[in-house]
Amino acid sequence: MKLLHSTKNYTLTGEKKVNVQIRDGKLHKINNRKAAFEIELIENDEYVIKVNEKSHLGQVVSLKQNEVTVMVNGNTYNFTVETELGSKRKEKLTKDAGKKVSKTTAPLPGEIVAVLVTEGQEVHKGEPVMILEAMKMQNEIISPINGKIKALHVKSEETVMKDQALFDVDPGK
Amino acid sequence: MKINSILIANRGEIAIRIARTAKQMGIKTYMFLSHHEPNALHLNHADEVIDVSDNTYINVYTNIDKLIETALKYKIDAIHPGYGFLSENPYLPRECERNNIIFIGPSSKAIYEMGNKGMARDKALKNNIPVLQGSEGVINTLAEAEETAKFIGYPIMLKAVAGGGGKGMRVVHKKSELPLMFKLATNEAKALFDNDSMLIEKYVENPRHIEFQVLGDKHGNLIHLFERECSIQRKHQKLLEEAPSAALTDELREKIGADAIKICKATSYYSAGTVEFLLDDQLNHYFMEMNTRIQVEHPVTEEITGVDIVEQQIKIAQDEVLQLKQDDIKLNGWAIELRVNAEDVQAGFAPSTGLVELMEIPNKKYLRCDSGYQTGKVVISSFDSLVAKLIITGKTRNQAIKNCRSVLSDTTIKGVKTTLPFFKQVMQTPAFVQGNYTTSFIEKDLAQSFFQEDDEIIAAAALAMETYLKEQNLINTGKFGDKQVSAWAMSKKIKG
Repeated sequence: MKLLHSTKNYTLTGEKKVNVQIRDGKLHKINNRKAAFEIELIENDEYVIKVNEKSHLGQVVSLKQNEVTVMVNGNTYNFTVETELGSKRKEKLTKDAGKKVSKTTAPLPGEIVAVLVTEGQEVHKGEPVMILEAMKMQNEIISPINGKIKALHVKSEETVMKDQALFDVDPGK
Repeated sequence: MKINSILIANRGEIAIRIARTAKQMGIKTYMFLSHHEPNALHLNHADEVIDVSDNTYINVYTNIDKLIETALKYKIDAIHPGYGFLSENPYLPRECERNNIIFIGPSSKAIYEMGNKGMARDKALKNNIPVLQGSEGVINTLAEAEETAKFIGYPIMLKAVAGGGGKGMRVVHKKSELPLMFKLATNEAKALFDNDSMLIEKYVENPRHIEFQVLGDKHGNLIHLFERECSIQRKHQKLLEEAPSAALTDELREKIGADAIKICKATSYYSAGTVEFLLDDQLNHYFMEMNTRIQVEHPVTEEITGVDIVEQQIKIAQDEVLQLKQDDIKLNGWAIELRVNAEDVQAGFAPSTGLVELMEIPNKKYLRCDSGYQTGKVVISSFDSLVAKLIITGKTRNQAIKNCRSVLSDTTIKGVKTTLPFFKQVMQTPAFVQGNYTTSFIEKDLAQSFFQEDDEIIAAAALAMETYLKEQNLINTGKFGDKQVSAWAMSKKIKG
């Protein structure tokens, strides 16, 4: 009898891309490397993850649809899980659509004390767009790219929460 | 007059630190129970706890009237302000004096003169202590700033006259940046210190931050306890300090130490204090400012000199003559302090508050841990983010670094994210290990701000994938179950 394996390839997109191959419902290869993976639940949602005999301490922070956040050795990792094909398709689509509008969100909760630009204004990468006061420090929120201010989502003296949308910059063509 | 009781007008680790010495000296200690932290660890270390939790309108640690009223009501001999809060407010010692309460710290006049950066700078100039080229008098308008900057030449540093703790400071590299930076610095200074006057100084690129610990009594005796190097900073906030500094020779140490003593003599300084200098790449030193209080990083000095600085503060406050002579002070070994802050290094050092689910600090003879927290305590956003100070010693600098690595691998803090992964990375960075670093260390030498184990990302991906597959399986088989999310993860989820 011929042994048939069912394999499926996934791409996990975080700060770096990680490719995972699943064979028969189990982890088989990561980044094209065959390794001995072992994941053991020890207590309270805490796992010991063994990769090639080296142990890492991990925790699942959240799982929302295909977005998984885990903490390993005290560092946080956010991943979007997609099939390899799905990930490639998405990549192609975004490339075809031209450069992406860059959205900037509040890095920490605080108050917007000044908005230094107006909508439609051209900004350069690294140029301060607004000033966010948090923990009694004034933080410049800078433009991540060269482009035009497409939208300003907050006004001066407005209180913002962490990750609240602040402004969008359109890189143009 | 002998001090029999102290009101510790502070919280967290420094309140505990002061109480420890007070206990050894047979002094009764009082601390406040505030509504912010009714379950604070420092309360276990007080002889008497004063409950002010019903008054939610005031921050007791910054309220002079409340402190004076409390000391009078309970007939407490002395007030120790610790660091931060009112420690460098000249009105507290003045009010203490008026009410016959001993202030454990310098005179009101010394705090006033040295706390104002402009006056301190003038004092240094008058006493032939090198300072950076800078503005004469204070600057209040952009036009004045532009003129002075032009005269001195860019880059320059804008500094709030009333500033401290690294707040209210901005570097300006070129003329076009000045208007914005001036606005930012003055806004910040106004908000923080209610005084938006500025100083302008020549900015030294990549300096080292060297400070001298001084001790003086009320009888004119002054000594220094050598230097601390505090060049590992982020946005002018110190993260790691060591003593001694790898940059100083004995000769240089003596020279800068003499200048530290000189400026203290000029203000008839008494109590503990710190004189800060910048050291440029040619090893020229420049007086920066003086901190007229006990500092967060004082333990590294205690570890290498064997002097209990809090004990000296108390003895000086009760008019004793300093028994220590300069020649008695000997350098012994090396000490490094790691400030474990509740901050998410991966998210740009954003504050990370919440329940300390677990805090495990190893027991080693070369480790001293000063902390105001333990498992089960809560880090709140009302106060600073310092969770613990790990003070690690060794016979040599190399040994101390080795010991740091060992402590770091055995320390666990869960529930809040901390700066521990940052320190792990620092201990692996050649510039630090070689002792060859400046205040630009984080931007220049550090490859990334946190440490990652080999294959850590692989392990993370494996766990994420497993979690995802398990969920998919549940959906496909129609068995929706408990997602098994810990209380901590759940609270994260809810808070977003």
